[in-house]
Amino acid sequence: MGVRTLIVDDSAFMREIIRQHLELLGCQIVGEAENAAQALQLFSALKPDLVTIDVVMPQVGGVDAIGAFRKMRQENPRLPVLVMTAMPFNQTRDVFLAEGAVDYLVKPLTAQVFKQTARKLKRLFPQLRDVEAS
Amino acid sequence: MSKHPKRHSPGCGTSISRSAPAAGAALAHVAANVASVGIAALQAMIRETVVLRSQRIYAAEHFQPSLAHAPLPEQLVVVSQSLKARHQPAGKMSMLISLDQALGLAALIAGWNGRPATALNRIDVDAIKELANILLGRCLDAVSEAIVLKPEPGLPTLVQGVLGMVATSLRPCPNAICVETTLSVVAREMELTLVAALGTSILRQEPRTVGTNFSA
Repeated sequence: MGVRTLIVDDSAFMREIIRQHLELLGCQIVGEAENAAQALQLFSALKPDLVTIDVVMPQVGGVDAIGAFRKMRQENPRLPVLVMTAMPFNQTRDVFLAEGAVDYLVKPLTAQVFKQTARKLKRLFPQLRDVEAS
Repeated sequence: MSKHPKRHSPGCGTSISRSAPAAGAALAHVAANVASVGIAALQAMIRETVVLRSQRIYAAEHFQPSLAHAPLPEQLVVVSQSLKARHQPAGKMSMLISLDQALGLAALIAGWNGRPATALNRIDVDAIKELANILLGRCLDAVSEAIVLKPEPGLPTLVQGVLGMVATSLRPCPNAICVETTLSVVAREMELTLVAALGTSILRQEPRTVGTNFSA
């Protein structure tokens, strides 16, 4: 069974790239959100197994990425979240990782960058395809 | 053929305008990092060799005259991100590229090689904004050594038009120092310019002058 995944990124171009990487592993993309508020709505409705979230997105309804991340983890403390961002700041990375993010990926999302994360995902979801084969 | 005449030979030292205050010299120390992280990120995205074409440091009040004298193309695509520190404007990060080269770069990133196009479509705009987001994020991280207050980047905005039209979107906050870095995609004779305009309120003041050339 596929890992039901929600992609949160304000760039349609990036959502497509993330989708391609995850689908290669066997993830099933059940929803895409372009801001944090939309992400929370889709998260409640879809109950995904995995979420990817961008850090810098337009703020809608006063919710930002870290706020959405915390709310989702509050609802499901075991929820694996991948943070995918263009911001390589250690301070931001440390906050997300300290609060339980599976990984903090700095764009560009090359196959090499994604391979390491794929190994982590494989440990969490053994049903995913082998990283080396994908 | 590139529409940008060469300004410097690749690999030459950073040029610092005499108009830049002491903090400008401090920035020269990290300008090399800006170039190397910019090159690495662009190479990773397009899988082609990228080199440093030129680098300049100058005060913000010389920004527009400097642009006016720069051999920039008529039709420009500019992606800018404002920086704030403690809710106050602290600078601006910008990426400049000619329209025809932006089309070529978007096609390279999105894998649309050979597509004939004269205008950016929605996906092109998205790809160029994402590229700028990545390059400018890396540059901001590279200059963090010279910054005392961590600035928060805003969302990238893209404008296109002739230089006179886009100049307003490029203008940094007053009392800023600009680090201008031009990168070149060798095989395609493609160039893009990154401008990090950093407010002096967030910059360290001690000058470092190792490996720099001073120019008038």
